[in-house]
Amino acid sequence: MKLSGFMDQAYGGKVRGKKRLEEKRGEFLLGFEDLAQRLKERPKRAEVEALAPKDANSIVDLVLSSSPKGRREETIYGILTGLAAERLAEPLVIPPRNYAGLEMKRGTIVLDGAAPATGPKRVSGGAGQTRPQGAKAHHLGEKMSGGRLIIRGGAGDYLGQEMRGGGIVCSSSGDYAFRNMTGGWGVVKGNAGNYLGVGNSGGRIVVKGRVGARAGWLMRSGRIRVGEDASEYLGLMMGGGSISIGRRAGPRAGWRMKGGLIEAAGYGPEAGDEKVGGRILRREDL
Amino acid sequence: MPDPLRKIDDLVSALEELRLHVGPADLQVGERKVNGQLYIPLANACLRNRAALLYGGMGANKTTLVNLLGSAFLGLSFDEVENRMVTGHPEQTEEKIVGFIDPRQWSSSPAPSHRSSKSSISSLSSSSFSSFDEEVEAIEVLWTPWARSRWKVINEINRFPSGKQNLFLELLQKRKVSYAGETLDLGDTCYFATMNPDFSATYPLDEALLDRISISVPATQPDFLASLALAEREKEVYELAESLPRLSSKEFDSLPGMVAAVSLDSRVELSIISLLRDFTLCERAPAFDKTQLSGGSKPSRGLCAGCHYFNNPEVCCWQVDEGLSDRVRQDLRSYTRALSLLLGLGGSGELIEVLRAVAPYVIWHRLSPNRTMLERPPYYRAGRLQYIKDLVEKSINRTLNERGEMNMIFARAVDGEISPREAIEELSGYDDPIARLDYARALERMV
Repeated sequence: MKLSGFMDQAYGGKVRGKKRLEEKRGEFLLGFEDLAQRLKERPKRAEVEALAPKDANSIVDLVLSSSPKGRREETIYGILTGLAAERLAEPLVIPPRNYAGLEMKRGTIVLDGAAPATGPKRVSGGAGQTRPQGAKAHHLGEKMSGGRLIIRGGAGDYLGQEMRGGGIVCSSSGDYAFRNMTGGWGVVKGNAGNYLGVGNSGGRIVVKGRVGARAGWLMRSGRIRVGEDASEYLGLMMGGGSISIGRRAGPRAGWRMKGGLIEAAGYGPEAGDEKVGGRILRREDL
Repeated sequence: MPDPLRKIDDLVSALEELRLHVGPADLQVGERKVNGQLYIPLANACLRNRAALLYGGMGANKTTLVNLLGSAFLGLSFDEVENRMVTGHPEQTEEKIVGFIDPRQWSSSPAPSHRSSKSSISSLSSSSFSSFDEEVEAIEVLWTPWARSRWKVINEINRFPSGKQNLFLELLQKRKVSYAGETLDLGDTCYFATMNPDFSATYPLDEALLDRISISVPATQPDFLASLALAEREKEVYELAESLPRLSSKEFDSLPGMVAAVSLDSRVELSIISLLRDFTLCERAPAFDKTQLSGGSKPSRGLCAGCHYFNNPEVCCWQVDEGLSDRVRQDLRSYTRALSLLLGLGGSGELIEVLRAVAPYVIWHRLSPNRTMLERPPYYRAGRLQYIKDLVEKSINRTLNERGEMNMIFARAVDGEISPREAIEELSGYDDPIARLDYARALERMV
């Protein structure tokens, strides 16, 4: 007996093995929750795109009316913001929510806490509600490959993670900003948190203020420019790329470094300890 | 035409009426509830070369029940069955368990000189070895009644020290017993063991031995109502045992064939395979490096840190330290069949209920649950069987209710109806450990 015959028997012929997406495509869409229900646990951009309305304004309505709960719905929300931005001629201005600009290819998104929400529904915790004081949206501009993301205010953790292209501008960022970045650029006008540019293999990052610990950890390529100080373990185990610090780097900068360049006005203790390659330079020596 | 099933039903009724076994109906099989402590040993009696362990405190009717069943199934008196039993204690010897060399064989002819010292054995030429082998084969061993019996009861197995437990491991593994170079083929045998970990001089059971124990059932001490019923018992057990119905040798021999005739449907087969995979996905070591398969590589010691499925309560693999061996698959199939036969269940939807009932008892003694999870309510560190029951329930429900589509995609790819690449693409949307760790890898090999 063939395996599909065995499975057919096991499920009493109730499972057709037909793609769920094909079944759901073409049905009338009732709203964001309806769209979310039709998608699987880990929706992909192509699946969301296939089910989302073709018209840009309808996508914007869907975005503004949504109140995503949980990672799955937030992912769908993020993909929808990217799709809306790509199809709109003018920038999409929305309040900051997790995953906004996910996998965006072109267009511009402006995340503004004071942006008016024009959706038909105002649900508690929804897009129309102002975020609580101090709460920042995470995963903004993740996996972007083009376009611009402008954040009026601070960004949370994982800003621009796995970014491949495009640009992001924000006032400050949390931890793990621009992690595993392979292309594009990011500008932080204030301070950045810990683990900036971890595992990067491309792209450019500029931070006007200070950066936290372990910036450029395992970095293979790309550039990081910091205007003020960097905390401990700068460029930890980095294998390539360059890091430039405007003022002073903290202890153990370039620890176990294998390649690349670190340049700063001064260093804390144990800079370059156990280094096997690369260069650590003091600006006055240049 | 023998009808052992009718006699087994009579035996169950007689055990209750004679107050020889009064237990709660704690094993739910579909709509029906039966006493697990009775029905699981009964199922074991219908099978051959499977071992059932009764686990509980003093006075829980473990040993007596097994001997009563032995008396009924072998058609022997209760005393005869009891005499064949071996009981564990630290000083128990191999000679008392399996047999000893018959000294009478040397009284008629003198012993060959090379038997008396090792040095003389090492000095033998290769031609002499064959004659030596012949001489060794001639040694006569007096096998104990226990070794020769087809109903082997190992009482208080946990009181055997680890070295002596290896004897049972070898016995369950090879179905043979050896002593002084002589081997006794045990043939088709029913194995039972009892265990009371409350006793002093208790030794932990080796994991390999536990894996060869096919099923384990907790034996409970009589509750208030059961005690009232037992108070009505006026005669001694061995006297009452004479009144039990007895199976003929032909009926006893026909049971394995009847069990084998019960066919399991695809739902049960699929649920069993998925259950095993749910518990065993990583074989407790990364697929690329089995050298890490050591005592230190266990989920409780950080093996699963960083895994996507770690701490997901719906996923079973990280919640237990050990994986499940293929013996579990065979045991699940055998006991599902045997219990279905005993309860007269075999219809559509009934077999899966039997599997749900049996599977926790086949699995729970082989696994060490995650301590953190086990210490939480509603288990409070004591509900180990219940914890495994809940995991089994999750796995079977997931297979039957949620895995249909992904199983179908995988099956179509294996059958060549869709390309492996297309199937991998489709399966990537399923956040299921079997899809990720089994199906995707199998399809990648097909690309």
